[in-house]
Amino acid sequence: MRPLEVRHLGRVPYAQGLELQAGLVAERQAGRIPDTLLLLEHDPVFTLGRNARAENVLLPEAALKAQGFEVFETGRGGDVTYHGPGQVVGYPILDLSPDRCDVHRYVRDLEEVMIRTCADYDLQAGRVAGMSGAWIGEEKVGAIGVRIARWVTSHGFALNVANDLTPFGMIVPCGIRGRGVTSLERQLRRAVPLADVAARLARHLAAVFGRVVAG
Amino acid sequence: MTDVIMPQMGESIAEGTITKWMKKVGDRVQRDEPLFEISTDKVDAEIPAPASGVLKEIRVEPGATVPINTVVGVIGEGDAATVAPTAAPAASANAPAAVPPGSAAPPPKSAQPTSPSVAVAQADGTPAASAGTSVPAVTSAVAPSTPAPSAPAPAPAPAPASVAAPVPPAATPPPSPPPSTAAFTAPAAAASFASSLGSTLPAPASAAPAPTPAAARPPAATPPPAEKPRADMTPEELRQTRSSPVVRKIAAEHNVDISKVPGTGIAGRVTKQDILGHIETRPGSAAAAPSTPSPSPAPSAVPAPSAPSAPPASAAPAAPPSAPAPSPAASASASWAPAAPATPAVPPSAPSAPPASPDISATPTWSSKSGASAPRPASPPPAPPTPAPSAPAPAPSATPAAAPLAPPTPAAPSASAAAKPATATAAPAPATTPAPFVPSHQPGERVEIVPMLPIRKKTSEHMVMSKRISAHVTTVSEIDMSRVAHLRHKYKQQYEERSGVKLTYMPFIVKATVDALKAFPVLNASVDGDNIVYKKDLNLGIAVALDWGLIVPVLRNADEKNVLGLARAINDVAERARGKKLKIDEVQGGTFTITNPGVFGSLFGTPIINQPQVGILAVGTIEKRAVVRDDAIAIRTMCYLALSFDHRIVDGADADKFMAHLKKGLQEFDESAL
Repeated sequence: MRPLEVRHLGRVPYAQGLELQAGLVAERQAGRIPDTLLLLEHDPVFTLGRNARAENVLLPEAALKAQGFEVFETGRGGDVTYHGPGQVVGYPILDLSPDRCDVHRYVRDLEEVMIRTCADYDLQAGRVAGMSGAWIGEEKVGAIGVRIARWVTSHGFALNVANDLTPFGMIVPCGIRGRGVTSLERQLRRAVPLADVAARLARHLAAVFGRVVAG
Repeated sequence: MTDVIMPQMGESIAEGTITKWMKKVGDRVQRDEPLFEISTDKVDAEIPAPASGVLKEIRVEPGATVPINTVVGVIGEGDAATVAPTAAPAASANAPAAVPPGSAAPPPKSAQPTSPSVAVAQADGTPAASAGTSVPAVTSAVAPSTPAPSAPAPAPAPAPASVAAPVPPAATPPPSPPPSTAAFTAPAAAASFASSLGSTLPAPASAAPAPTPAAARPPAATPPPAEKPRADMTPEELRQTRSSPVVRKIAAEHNVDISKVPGTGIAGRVTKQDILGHIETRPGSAAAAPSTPSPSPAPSAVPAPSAPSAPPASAAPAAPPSAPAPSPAASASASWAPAAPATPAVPPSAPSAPPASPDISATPTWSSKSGASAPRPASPPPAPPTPAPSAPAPAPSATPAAAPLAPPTPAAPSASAAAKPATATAAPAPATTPAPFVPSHQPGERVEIVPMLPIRKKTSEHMVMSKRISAHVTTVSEIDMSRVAHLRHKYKQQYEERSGVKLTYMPFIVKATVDALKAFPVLNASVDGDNIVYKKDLNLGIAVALDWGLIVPVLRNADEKNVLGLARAINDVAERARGKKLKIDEVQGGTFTITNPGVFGSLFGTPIINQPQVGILAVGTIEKRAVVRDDAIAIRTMCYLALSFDHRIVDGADADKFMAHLKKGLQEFDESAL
């Protein structure tokens, strides 16, 4: 099985995360590094995917910035979302060739990773047809936004663990109206160590993608 | 001239939206260089140029959505080499162009994209592949079924055709490894395990096939085709199970019973698109699958060996081994589904099975050690009569997350009753074989079920192991800490000012303990078979309570430090333990341990020895008490110290002499050590 290198990066500013990914994608395309999974937290930031519609950001950008949020437009799929401390963000830099060249399958697989992780905490997360992500009931616990270049992936998923959910109120997360967001801690009503969640995500990702965690 | 076309980014994707051109008309492009970006669903993809040359035309502007294989632009002129390596340029026009050269198979429809995946599956050694080894190419080539006649690129027409041919034969009289594989892995394991544990439990048996997460998947992936010998299948089942390895792999990964997925492929086969669609649309995701009975594990299918674990009880029929689903997610929910024990009525279809295996596979995943070491099949003989009734039951009981088979479950009284004993008998088994877990609560009860963190699990295992290994005896001494309190008070400020170290009672106690250990080295020893190993180093473990558990950093060569050095070291490790910054070797190699429950007000405890050590000292709360001194009632700073020792090599006399030494050391603490 192919190796998967897992890097726990801790707190990373969004811009730095982008830069890091760009470098790794190039390296991965060139075959100089193995499949890699970055696990991290971001400073508070709103990011707009390629399909983001302006009306899904409910406050003017200036107002968001005034409150200490960064705003980024990024090259991932999906609409607008929020990242912040307490949310585990995973950026798999995987080469999907030759056997997983299917973007839908990739998205389903990322969902599976988050669903399995939730299950570790006895939370039954699932999918909602037509709306990517991991859902607990009517509420989204994990979001997905992906970029693929020559079947090498970047961006990825974000699982709400302990983060403040109020910033989601300033946007229409992923452009989906009428549904809320939730987090593991809100569901469990107890503290959940991020490191533990990150480790489980890594393990499940390796399992779902048939990779072996290196090192 | 090379057409640039909208590639198909997945089997179920019929169109794409162009979001951006990276080049303008007239720009030179290099083959493989990012040319434009498209967007589908949640995914943005960067599409490389299919050839080198000059971008002549942009036919589809950003924002437009077009069907796959639509020509969106044209590259021309430049280095004539254009389509170079991608065979048949002229011939099947757009197909080659569609293939971003570098990447093996950004599927231009047809069978092609799937084939590579077959190859990989095999390379991986994944069971999905092995299951279908005899026929994978065939099925995969055929299954997708979507193939547009025009499409196939480099290896076009002949491929699907020729491949398609063999299918029928393969389908019917398959020498197929699948059945045999399954029969082999599952029941064999079951039987052997049962026998090794003294018969009772097929439960662990189901664990057997899943020694490691990695290994766990295989058996799980295999079953669909294997569950039932081809001969016993209806044509319908046959068709449905004869899906491509990719589909079977996805099904296994997502705990989907392929036979329940409507197939739109040739002869009703389930295509990748079908399965992905199914996964996406079913509500609780994993939840749904297991509850759907699989048509498969007919007891009759897998003869002798599996028998014991199977039918007799009739209750939860057979199937454990063949359970398809590897997904723990599935397991949690799956097992809650009424499916399992509640359905004694359906012996042949064994719907109860699925949860078993997935759960198991989940266990080793995050139980660092135990899970992995657990399943150690021994010999094949099937477990004889006794287990009959109990057999099916424990199977699901091996599940960690699942609460289905809780003994109190009314649904399957007999089964659960049987499960219980299974647990019991398993317990005395070797340390490496954890008893199968029988959850005792049902979902919906007013309880909260929290899986143990790894540190908790390890602690748990270690504690029980220690109690089993050592002959624990605890002795308690009362210490007058007044002198130490006085010294501490006297030097506290000086320590803080000069060295920035907070002087607590702990360094005094450690110092006195070190001296006592030197005097009674048997307490700084361990047992190795018939030998007593006296350790020359005095490495003192200091138990530190953390919010998330207990950790015991080790002060190496504690005898070489004075009180200041000890104070520093203790503060340092405690702090780093709380910050999770300890290195692995800082929690290993301890030769004696001190724990301090007194900080919480405890008078004394009877601590469990930290193996392979033979002594552990618990420090009770230090407080002023009324005591009798010279026939008068006096107020003194007092404390109980409790020593648990391993009576295998430490006699009571040694232990109490050690304690007397320790007591003297504290009550007459040598000021020069400060």
